[in-house]
Amino acid sequence: MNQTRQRTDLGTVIQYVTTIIVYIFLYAPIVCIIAYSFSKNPMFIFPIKEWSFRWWITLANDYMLQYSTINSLFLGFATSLISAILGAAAAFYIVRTRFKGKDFLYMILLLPLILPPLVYGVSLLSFFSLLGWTMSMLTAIIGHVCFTLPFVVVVVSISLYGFDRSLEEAAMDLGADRFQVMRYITLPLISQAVMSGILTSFIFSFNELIISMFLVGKNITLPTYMWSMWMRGVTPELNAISTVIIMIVLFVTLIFPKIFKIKAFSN
Amino acid sequence: MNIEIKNKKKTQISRIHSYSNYLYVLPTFIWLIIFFIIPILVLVGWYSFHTGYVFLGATNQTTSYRSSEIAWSLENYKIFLFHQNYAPIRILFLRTAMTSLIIVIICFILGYPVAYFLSSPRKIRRHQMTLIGFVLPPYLAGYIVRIYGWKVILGNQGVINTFLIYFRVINKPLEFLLYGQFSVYLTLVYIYLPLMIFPIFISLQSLNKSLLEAADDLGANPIKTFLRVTLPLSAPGVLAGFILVFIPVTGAYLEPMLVGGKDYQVMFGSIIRFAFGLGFDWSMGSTASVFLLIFAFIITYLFIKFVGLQRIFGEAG
Repeated sequence: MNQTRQRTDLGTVIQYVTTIIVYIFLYAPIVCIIAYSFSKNPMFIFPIKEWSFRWWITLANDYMLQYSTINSLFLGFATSLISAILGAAAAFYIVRTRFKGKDFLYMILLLPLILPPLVYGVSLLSFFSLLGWTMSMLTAIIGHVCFTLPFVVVVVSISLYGFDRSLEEAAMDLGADRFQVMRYITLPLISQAVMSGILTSFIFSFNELIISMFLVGKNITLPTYMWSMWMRGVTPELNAISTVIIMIVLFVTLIFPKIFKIKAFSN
Repeated sequence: MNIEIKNKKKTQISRIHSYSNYLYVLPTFIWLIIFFIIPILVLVGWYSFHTGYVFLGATNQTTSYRSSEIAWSLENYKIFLFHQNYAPIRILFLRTAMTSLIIVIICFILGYPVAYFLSSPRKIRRHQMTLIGFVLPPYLAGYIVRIYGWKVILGNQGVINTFLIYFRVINKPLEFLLYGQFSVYLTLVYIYLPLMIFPIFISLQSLNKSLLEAADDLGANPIKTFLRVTLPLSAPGVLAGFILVFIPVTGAYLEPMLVGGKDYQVMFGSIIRFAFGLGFDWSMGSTASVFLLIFAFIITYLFIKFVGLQRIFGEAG
């Protein structure tokens, strides 16, 4: 171990430097978006001379924006709930039982992760058209669930693989039936994984653009509205909307799990 | 060997009381069959083998794409593969595959050191989870926000250009920054880099550290240890990252459309998007998607051949 620790040579330097560069790379656009949402100038001129809430005020008065946000929230909630239920159940079955074709089922479950969303959106669109359905919120939910299922399945199955089964056995020995074990032992222990699956799917579906573009029909969601804004060339307002989205994402991914963890332990 | 013992133990336990009730998985399975497998089969087996799904004029909403003569034929494939008007599209397909390969390699070069650094329990042990958590928000912020951020930075009136002009490094804005190959590659790397970092991080974290010590004790130098122990053992993560980046990039169309300018406006995905959008040629669009799917399946198949899925997600916990 001493020897491995002494490797403060080229390799370590490369690691440090790349990590710093990558984090700057990842956060540079985000910092710029936030900064320029408070700039008065519609161009992104480097020293921000005048600060204002101009874009935030247009944002507050934008009726279409509120409508599309509500749509997106609804879509996100519905998608994350459905995919949490379906995904957690599937993860249970896959982890806890051995059967033929397990790899195959797992592969199908993870397939949406690697399928280009464009191809999937297009295929659902043609499928629904063949059935004669009109595109609506329902079709969008269906499309999103398939794409968020893998998140839930992966997170829950990882948590189930690291699950201490002796706790369940202990409960069984003490006379609990299967549903009690499920209710009082298993679900609380994997609840955090399920919760993070729900959060990831929610954010994913809230921000998903490509599938939504094909499937939402007349119900504009927030990303499709932002898309149309960009196409119309109303760009500085996008700064403010993007800032809101970034804040939500940061809050949910970094702060919310901590709050949830504390609660889970105090229970 | 360790794994075998573990698995044996698992089977024993699951024999005691298993959740072998397939009702758990049935709804998910049915859902995936109806809304995932069948739509793709419809696209592949129906639309790509039919001619006539082209725009004939606005009738009513659901039937506007129907032509008078929808018929089974191989015409789409013939046209796509051999017609001379489609030569640019075939070249575009190859160019897109090439682009994906380059993007994957850049992502790997940038992503591996980061994953390695984050997974090595040295000075950052306490902040490890926070740091890896900070990779997530840029990934989850959605396409528009992420591409838009680069427009803010790279544009002619953007941050870098005005910054350089402000400090009198340059007189005119550097035009190659936005609207060209450079910006497309940059945004693609930006969008898919987290998908490379995460799998590698997971596989490096579950790597048995005593193997590295053993290699050290046996006199291997750090480079040799890395190349012959660390890299092969993290291969499942690397390959997962390759797949997760490579295949979605082949279907990318938003990035070139938004920041590609006129030189780099289209990738193969743009063809599909156009066919199902303004172009209203669903038959050709499906055929193009089929080629993308075949490509994806070949890559995935090779990947599963190389490393079993179990090795990637099974050991992660």
